[in-house]
Amino acid sequence: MASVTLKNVTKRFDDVVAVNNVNLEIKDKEFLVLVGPSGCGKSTTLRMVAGLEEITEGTIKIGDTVVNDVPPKDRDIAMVFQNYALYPHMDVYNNMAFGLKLRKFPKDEIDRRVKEAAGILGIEQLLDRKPKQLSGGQRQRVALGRAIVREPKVFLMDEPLSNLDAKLRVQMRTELSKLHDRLQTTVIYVTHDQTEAMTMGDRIVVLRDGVIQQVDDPLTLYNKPNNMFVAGFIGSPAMNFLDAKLLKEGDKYYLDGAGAFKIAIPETKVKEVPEIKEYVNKQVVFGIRPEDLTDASLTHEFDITEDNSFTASVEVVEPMGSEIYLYLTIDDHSMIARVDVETKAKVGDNIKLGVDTRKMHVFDPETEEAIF
Amino acid sequence: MEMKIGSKSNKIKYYFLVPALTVLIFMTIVPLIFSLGVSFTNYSPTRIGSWSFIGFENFIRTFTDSEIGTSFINNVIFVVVSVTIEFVLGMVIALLLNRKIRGISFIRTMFLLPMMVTPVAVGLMWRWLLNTDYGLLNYFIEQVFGITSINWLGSYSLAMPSIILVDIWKWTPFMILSLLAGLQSLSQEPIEAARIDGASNWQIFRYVTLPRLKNIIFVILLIRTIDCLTRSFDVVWTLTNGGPGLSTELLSLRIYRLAFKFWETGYASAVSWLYLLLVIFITTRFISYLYKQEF
Repeated sequence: MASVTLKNVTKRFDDVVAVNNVNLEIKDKEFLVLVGPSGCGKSTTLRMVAGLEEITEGTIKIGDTVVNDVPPKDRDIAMVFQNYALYPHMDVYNNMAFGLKLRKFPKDEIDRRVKEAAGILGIEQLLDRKPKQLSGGQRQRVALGRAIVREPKVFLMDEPLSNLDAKLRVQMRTELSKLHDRLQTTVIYVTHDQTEAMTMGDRIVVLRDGVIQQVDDPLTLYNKPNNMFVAGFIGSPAMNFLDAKLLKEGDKYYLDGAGAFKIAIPETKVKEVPEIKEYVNKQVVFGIRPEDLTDASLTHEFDITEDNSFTASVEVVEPMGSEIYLYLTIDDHSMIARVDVETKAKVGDNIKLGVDTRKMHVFDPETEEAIF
Repeated sequence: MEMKIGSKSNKIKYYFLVPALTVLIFMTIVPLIFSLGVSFTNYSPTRIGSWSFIGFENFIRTFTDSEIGTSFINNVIFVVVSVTIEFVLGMVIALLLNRKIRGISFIRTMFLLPMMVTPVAVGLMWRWLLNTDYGLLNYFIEQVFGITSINWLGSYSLAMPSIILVDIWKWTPFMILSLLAGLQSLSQEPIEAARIDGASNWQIFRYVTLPRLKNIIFVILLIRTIDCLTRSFDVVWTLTNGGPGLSTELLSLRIYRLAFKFWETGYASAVSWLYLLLVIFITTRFISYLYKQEF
């Protein structure tokens, strides 16, 4: 059990900065997820913690020890790789026992640990098989088992579920969460899948081009994204971004989409974030999640008035079963709304949409930072 | 219409095989059958007309012929020592080269050179290098150690090590390149997993890299063994001509001498056939072992 601390960590490959001045404190027993698009430096960060990549600048501590110059085998970590990285010539038992054998554990202790881990993962009947005789899901369990038997201070997982099919991935997601509850170990988990990040992480780190964008628990990340990148990356379908101009009419502030829409900003928001006043008559970006748009003809939980609605034409209707995605356009803006299956909207219709303004976001178009 | 053209060209394609087949039949198959027939006779081109069928006599003679025995032992020593050293040396150098090095393709080409040189040229070049009186090797040894006039190719004790040395020089590159290709085709992840699991560099090599190279190792050992058994004629012929005495007389040299110096064609054919069966036996053992491997 240990915390992991990254202080001003930078990694350069020749001229390319893969990880740029990352500061991160991972608490003991925490399940921390590093998420971001490919090439954002998340795997490199993990590999630096593992000791598989040298750190160009900064320090990494596991517990109270600076591990910059400690070889991977002495860091007391275990890693699960994307392609499982099993030893193809060893059976499942030996794949799991290898690390313990190298550490000269007594035979009965090895046996006890391997069988216990196999029990937890439900792979007891596979112990004498070779990796190539296993399915993807089984291989992934063996890879997990190999990490578990070591009883390490920190688990490092590099996209461990991305090679599994969708159904198995969902199942393993839950199992990994359960496993974490059971083992009570620090886990650093890398993924490019925001759903995995949201469902599994105690906290999530969003990375982009080697720079941390935001570190927060899943709901804060979802409800209060720091910038347009985080807002767009977390959530599916992604948040709609519409160019607008901030106008002041009387006491009220409006987002004006050049005639396409005119949405009033609720007074509470203006009180919370008085800086908004500095943007009067300036361009801003209006952000609204697809589920915060409502078909006005259906029942809704907030009053729809002229101040929080607009009319858009339906381009595509995508029924998802439990809900329907509407692809809409107004003038040259396009957006997605996630509405109830009761909707009667058809392609080519002009429908009135209500905006849940309590959940609206406004961003600075220059810096892409959130205003609120 | 198309069918017709098709069937016509179907026949034509067999005509194209005729030259190759003719050469194969007359250069390989006919001599092979002829040699098998001749091996049961005392046929000799110098005594045409007076040859007769003698049954298995030639084959029995092979097992009692002390000179064949010596050649066989020479051959075993030559093959085992050369291939072993070539393999170990090749593996060490391949491991050293298996990293990001500037100019690696230049180094690889340099390593290829000995393999590309004609065997007879190799023999002549080394005969000069190893010459007792004006050879470069002796010159350096004299400069460094003060030892003079080592008779590399002319002494009983040094002739065999010398031809083994030349074979190693010529064929280690093959081992290096094959093993390097094998090493580079291995996925890196199990190696990284082993590093995290706590393996030292040696343990990674022993328990993770080597087992995964097993199949490649078997194939190249097979190729080199067959090659070394059957095709080391020319270099040895130019270097020592089998001498001094019979100290470097390999089976291939012995068979050549029996057939074309002593003109005992019948006997030489019998020895050749036994030799062929031996090589086939070794090869099939190797291959069946390879097929039994699981991954």
